[in-house]
Amino acid sequence: MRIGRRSLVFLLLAVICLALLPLTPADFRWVNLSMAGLALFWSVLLVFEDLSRERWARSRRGRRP
Amino acid sequence: MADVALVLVILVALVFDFFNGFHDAANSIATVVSTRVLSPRLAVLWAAFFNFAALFLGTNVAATIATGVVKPAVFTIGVVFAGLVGAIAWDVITWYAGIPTSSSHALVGGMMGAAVAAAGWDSLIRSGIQQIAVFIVLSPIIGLLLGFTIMTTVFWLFHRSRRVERLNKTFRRTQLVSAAAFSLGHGTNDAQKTMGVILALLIAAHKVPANSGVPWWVKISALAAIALGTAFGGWRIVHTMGARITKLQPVSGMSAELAAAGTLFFTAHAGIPVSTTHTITGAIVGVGSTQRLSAVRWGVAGRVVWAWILTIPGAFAIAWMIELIVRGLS
Repeated sequence: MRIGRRSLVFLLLAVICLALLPLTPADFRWVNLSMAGLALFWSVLLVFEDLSRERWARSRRGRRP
Repeated sequence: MADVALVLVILVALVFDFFNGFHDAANSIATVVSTRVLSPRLAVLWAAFFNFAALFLGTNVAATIATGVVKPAVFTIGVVFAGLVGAIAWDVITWYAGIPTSSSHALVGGMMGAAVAAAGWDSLIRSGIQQIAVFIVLSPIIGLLLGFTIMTTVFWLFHRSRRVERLNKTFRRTQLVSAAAFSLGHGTNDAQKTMGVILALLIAAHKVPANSGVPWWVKISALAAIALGTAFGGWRIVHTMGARITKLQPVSGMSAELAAAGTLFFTAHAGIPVSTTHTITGAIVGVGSTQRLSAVRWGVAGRVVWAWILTIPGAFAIAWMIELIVRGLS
């Protein structure tokens, strides 16, 4: 199984948003949380995309005579 | 004599604002120019007009600059002068090198350096600086994530469409709106920093009360200066932002500008001074990443990151030295 770099980059962005949480003024912490949530959403979605692409490529190889 | 000095430093502040337009506002038209939606000349005029239209939006960022970074009691005409010259010097150096740095953070760094030289580290307001520091990192991330989200949503909505030419034409038109929105966001955020500096000066000179809002003549002169600066150029940076970070199509230009404009409107409303350059760079990287990571030229993006890291210390050091020279001379 091979996970692409994009999902890892989005995971890293989520980690940065969460790491900044203690430094962010209380009024704006929702920004960190919502951006971390969005980054995680894309990270998970990109992992699914990578997996489905790999499965598709494998099934195509299997069909070849 | 004090009044003459006050007028002179206000003029320096407006020169800084002009350079801010010259240096930063060109970023707001980079995507329109690189996608050939507008010619460089028309794009510059378009951006300058919408910079000025920010006159009718709030002044929360100005209030943060005037009272949220350095203790207002520390501000004197000399301190503000040193801070401004530090920021202008940093802007000119990075403009010459073609690096898309941030005038906003140069201003914050310059004010901090001059205040520390005048009254020590206690003159700084820790909570205000912490908030700005957090959003130095967050604003490009917000731009990147919104850019990626808008671009992907557009792909999902239109991927079945077979009329590619017609779609492209529509996106070219909508890019005019998104470029206007971004220029408006730039005007609200960047021109307000100069308004904040002039307000701090007026409070220090006891020309307005400490709880005063931004006078109308300050708003109009700051917006006119940034709009003029935009109209006069900054082509080196247009080139860096629009062509060298990633290759843009009308749809990606529109997505990047909408993402950056959204970020700028939110931060201006919240009174957080952020860099328009950081924000649009993040948004351009975000839309570029929808293709694949290799579509983004990471070498250029890396140079931008180094400029971000160096801006506040660089402007701080220059302003610190100038404040010492000003004090020595006086």
